[in-house]
Amino acid sequence: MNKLIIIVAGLIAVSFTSCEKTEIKEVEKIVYADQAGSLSLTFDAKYGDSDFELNKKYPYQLVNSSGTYDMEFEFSRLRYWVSNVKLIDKDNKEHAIADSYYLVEETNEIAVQHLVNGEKYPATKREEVKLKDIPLGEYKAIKFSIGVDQKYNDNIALTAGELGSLNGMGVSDGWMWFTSYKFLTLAGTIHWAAGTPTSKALSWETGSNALFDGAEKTITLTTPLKVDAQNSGKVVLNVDVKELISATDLPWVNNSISQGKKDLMIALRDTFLSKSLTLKESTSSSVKTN
Amino acid sequence: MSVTKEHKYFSGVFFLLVFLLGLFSCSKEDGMDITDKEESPYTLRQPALFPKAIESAIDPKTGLPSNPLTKAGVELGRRLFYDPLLSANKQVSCASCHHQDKAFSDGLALTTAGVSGKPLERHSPTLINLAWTDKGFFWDGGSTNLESQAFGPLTHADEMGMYLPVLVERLRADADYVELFHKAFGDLPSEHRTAMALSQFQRILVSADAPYDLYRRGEKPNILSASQLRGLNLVQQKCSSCHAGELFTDNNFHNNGIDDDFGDGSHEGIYWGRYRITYKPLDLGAFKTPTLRNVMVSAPYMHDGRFKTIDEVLHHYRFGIKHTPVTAKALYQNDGQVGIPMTDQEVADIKSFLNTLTDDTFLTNKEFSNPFK
Repeated sequence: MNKLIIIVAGLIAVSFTSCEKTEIKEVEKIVYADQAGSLSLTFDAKYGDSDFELNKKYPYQLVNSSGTYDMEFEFSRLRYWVSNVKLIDKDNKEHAIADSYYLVEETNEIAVQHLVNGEKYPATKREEVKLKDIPLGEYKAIKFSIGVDQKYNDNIALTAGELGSLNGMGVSDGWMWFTSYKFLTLAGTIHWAAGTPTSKALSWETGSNALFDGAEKTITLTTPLKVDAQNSGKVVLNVDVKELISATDLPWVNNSISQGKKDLMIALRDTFLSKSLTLKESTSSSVKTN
Repeated sequence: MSVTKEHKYFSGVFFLLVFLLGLFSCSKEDGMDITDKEESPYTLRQPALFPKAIESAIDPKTGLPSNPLTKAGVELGRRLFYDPLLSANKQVSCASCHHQDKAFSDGLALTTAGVSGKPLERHSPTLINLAWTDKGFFWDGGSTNLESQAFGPLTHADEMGMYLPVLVERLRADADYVELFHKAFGDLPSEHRTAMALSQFQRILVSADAPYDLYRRGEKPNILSASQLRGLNLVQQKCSSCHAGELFTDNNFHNNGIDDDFGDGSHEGIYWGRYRITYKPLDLGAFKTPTLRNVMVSAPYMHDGRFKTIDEVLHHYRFGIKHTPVTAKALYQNDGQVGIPMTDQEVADIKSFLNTLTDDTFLTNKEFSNPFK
């Protein structure tokens, strides 16, 4: 193979001199099948010890300075961008995964806000992200951010990975008048059991460039993950939505969190990173090769 | 050189062969070109005395401007701008609310020309010298660049009401557009390429040939009357802290004292102006400074079109400015009085001067006009 590469390099040089108009803007990195592997990253949503399901009432006991209250939470949407994935090898070297922007979501059908012809974003559940093109090696940690970094967040016409206006956070759930992706949304209904039963919409969102700083999470793997053509890696993370509710001890009052409430957006982000997200398991398994 | 990524995981040897064949195909005749994208650049006019135009945002992947002007891109953008295919009911185009003869505004306070027929929340702004607009688009600057801005009116329920997947479907079903997108971008039609092409067209809308410009550049040194020259001086003295420089705007956001109650936070804070973007208290009720270029053909005025005539505007700055904690400091005199003092004669001279900013070349330029006519 090495000889072939040398020949190719020679031919490229020849073609540069022989052909004036040839412009090579980007020579794609050639990754051979025997030098790269894949990794599956799953965000397994749950509510405490239960599986996370939409349109189901979950009990939530609120304890704050004024007392203890029984509430119920019912969810219609959980969505977030996972971006800038990096793998840390056993020598502490970071390997950034190119174009790693993934929309993780579990949502009911969404009537598109600007529906004139009744278009709907279909109900979707997506928890698994497949990382390809991973250099062979042993990895002891994985890093990623929740949200989108400024260079892409400032221009929704740029595409990379799954970023692009056709994706969920743009077309049906975006802030078109304010250039920024929503980084994380949780929506549903809060039911209040005490006194007169009543309920209120829950709409929690984070986003904006200021919140991307500090949006990185490092997951240390309990055993190093071996990735190569024979072994693919699998990392499963828990995403506990019950923990996410604890971002505020006044969820009834703060049922709506968005751009106007920066402190609560930060609390929501930080709670997601530090409390909701935990490692469930990481394994390497052998794969069949061609 | 672009090679589709799907090939990456197949045999390296096959990839290399394709790669080599691609390299050796130098001419179009051999039919080996991967794309026949037309690279012919469009040189944006850079008028003397103007600051340097703003490039499109840097593409993180290439380190180069993400949307450089090309002849094919500009022409595609022009066609898209005038095509009602871009709206849900196929009856509304960008040009429905942006008329060239009104400097791409529409002569209405709040238009009802959108797909829903409901009045919009904002007055259609002029589209003039946008390649120099460096602090955001929309009246509140919420959109960081022209490319991102395009998605606002395209998708708004009361404007073009377009569901973007349907837009892409329509454009891909149209053989002309498939060819035009290919020429412009080497790509199939897509929503983000649509935004890019629209932005390219809007960047070439340069207005710099008004009588004022001919005077300023010394091409017609005697074109301004005595009254207009006095008006020019007055505008520089009294208006230029916001309507600054050759662009006649600082592209910034100011509360110009037209309101004194900002309590209404409905419609995602639309009445808050710039505050709904920055959440800085001093940005309450602040809106973008519009350029004075072509101001005499772009009535009515303000972000909601509340002033029907230029006389109403000047009357506001003389007598009507409301004193609030967020009213722009530039609107106060040294003695703390709010308002810009002007005599009747000064008002007449200022109006006389503003007429010299009407750029007939811009208003009638065939390169900016409807290609379907």
